[in-house]
Amino acid sequence: MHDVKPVVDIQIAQSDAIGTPSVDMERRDLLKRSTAAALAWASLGVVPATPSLAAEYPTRPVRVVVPYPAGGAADVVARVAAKYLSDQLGQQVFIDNRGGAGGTIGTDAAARATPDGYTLVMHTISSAVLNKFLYTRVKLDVNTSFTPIPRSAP
Amino acid sequence: MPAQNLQEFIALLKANPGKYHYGSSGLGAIMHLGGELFSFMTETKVVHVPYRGEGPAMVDLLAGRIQFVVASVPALLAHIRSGELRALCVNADHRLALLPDVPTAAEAGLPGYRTYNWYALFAPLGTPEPIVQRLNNALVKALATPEARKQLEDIGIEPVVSNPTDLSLELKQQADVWGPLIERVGVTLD
Repeated sequence: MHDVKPVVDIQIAQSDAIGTPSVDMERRDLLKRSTAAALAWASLGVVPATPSLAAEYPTRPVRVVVPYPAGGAADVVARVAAKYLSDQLGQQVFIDNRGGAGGTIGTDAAARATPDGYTLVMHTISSAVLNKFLYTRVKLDVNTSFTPIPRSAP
Repeated sequence: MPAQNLQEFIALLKANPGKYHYGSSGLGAIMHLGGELFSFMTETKVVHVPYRGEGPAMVDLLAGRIQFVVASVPALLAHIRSGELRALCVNADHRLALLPDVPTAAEAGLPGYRTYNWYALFAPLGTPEPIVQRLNNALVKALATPEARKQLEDIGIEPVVSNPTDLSLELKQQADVWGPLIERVGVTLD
């Protein structure tokens, strides 16, 4: 597992620093650097994103939240995109319609999902831009809650 | 509708303040705000009629109960091609391959009028960068296939290849346009 590796690095570095003061300096620096890197990962709370992880991704079906009901324009576009994205990823890409409250319910649900690449959201200009001005109770800002992938269609 | 083009239509509205109605899919929708932006930019007085969705607004437009809409290409395309509706301008920076004869708003004399919608994929914040890049590459390739292009174009959607940086910029630019307009119009939905 990739997310276990940095934890192992921390243990080696710590025991090394405490128990063997005569350790080769170059090796120690190297271990210190790996400790720092591991701690950076840990403090950010993210899974270490090694190239091999991205190469393996996705290993299971990917969910695309559509914050609008089935059958609407956003849903139709999302289903076409999902079909061809699925071909490229070699994994099933399925649609999860979470309509309601002008798109804010699905937007909120997607923002709370684990950020592991297995939950995505298809936004429109309404859910991505307009809602934060239209709904004063909505605290969610798409600019800071989501990472844009590409604009798929205007 | 006597107006043959955008300038004639604007002149008609100016000569008849408050007499022309436009429909939208609901309060705060891009169809509504697009009409408000049009009214603001052209200094015309038009009446907004909110419907429950784009479909009912289209029904009343085709029946002549309302006079115009600012709507999506998928909703309008068949009616424009059949001649039931007249397209005055495309509210984007370039002409659409789907409607090559329809001028952009700028070409029709209303520069800066942009009301296009888009659909874009996002990942929750914190999604590892290599995975976002992998998804970007996969989606760009997916949308480049002739089958995907055709299927999207058939429903009036033009695939655009982009990247996370450009999309972030687009979000900011759109917020700068619509935020002040929504405040000026005073629409709130909660």
